[in-house]
Amino acid sequence: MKARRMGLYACVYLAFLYAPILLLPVFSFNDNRFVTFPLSGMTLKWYGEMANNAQLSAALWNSILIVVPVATVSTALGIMAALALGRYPLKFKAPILALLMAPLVVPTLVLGVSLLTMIRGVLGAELSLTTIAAGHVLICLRTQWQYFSRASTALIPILRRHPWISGSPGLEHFAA
Amino acid sequence: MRGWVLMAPTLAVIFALLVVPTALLIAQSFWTQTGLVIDRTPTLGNYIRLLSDDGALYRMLLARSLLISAAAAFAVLCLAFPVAWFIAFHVKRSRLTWILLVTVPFWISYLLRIFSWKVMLGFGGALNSGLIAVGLIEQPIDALLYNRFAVILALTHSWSAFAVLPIYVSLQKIDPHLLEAAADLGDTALKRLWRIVLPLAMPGLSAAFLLVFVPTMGDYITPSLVGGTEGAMIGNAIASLFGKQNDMPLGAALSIATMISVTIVLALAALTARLSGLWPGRR
Repeated sequence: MKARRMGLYACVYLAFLYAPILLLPVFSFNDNRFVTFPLSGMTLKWYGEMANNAQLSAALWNSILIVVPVATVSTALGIMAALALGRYPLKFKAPILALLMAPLVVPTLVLGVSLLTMIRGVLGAELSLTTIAAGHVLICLRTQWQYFSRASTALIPILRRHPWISGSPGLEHFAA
Repeated sequence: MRGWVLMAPTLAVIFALLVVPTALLIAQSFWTQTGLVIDRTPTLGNYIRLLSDDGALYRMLLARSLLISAAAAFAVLCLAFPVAWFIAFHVKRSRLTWILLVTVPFWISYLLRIFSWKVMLGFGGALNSGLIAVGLIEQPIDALLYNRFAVILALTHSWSAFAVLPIYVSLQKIDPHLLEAAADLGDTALKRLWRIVLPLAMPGLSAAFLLVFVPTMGDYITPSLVGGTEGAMIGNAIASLFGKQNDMPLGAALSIATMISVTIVLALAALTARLSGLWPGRR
């Protein structure tokens, strides 16, 4: 009984998480400039306009240019840091951990304006895709290493029982 | 040695992108700017300005932001805790699926998640239209959007899944036998929650609180999309000082003041948890 009530709550919670997000795409087919109900008719014209908008395509391309290297670099850094902390007897572990945790206790905006101060005010460099990428590496890093060290402790037992992993000796070692 | 080789790149990145810039930000908060020229003679002028009558607006925004962020973080904990509990104790086989289900919304752009609340709460939005369709109201309510409540709601929604995972991890470590023993000895469900579950789940709960409270303190996108003037936060002021108003040193001082306030609030929260006996290790 209690389990069912909790399950019901969990479903309501999922509805709260997903409903607003799923509502948005509905309006991409709506024949109205404004995002309001009632819906005024099906159209695909916004998708046509999107395809013809050079600014949007340029922005999308910029996003891809930033996302791919940032994800690769921060994931690699995160794995290395988590491995170093988890498997090797490092000296100064406490201060290193404090340093890794630091981006978590600083609001992102403050990280941003500090970077701006350094790039614009001190180095005198212009803002560019590279500077955006640098900022994102820092922001991703603060969660990346934790995914591999802390959150993985939650997933590993589940993963280990998964047939894909328990059936392949190499992966089993990876998840250990 | 191999450990250090693995650690070095990350440390170098953090040093170059966090330690040095933060030091420069602190230095800049002691400079002054007139027009486009920055005077690097150290002065406490910016901080004095923030503490004087001149800074009343900033202090009000800072206090409001602390309240909004704390309210959002608390709401997130309340919403996420039962879900984490459900996954940890009631879900047997499909745990990975559940964890994925609560994580997937995070793969959608933050901007879209916030913007979706404009669709929900707006004048012709889902909520108003729904209430009219059901017959509960006749005219749309225009007070749903552009206020503090809308900011808290949007922040709660955007960050809530972030909290499930850390809480789940700490709940999972609780031995169910402890709860059975407490029940056998006559503890009510509420007492078990207060005396056993909450103290043992504290690391996860406080991590979750931190994960929501700190980043939302710097948010300026959410208040500018759904907050209106009543819901403006300190992030809007900082962003404006570094942008339109172009007074970077004052913006730097305000950023430092924000960080100090965040630290004080977190220290007070930790102290309260410890004194109330909720913090593990002292009971």
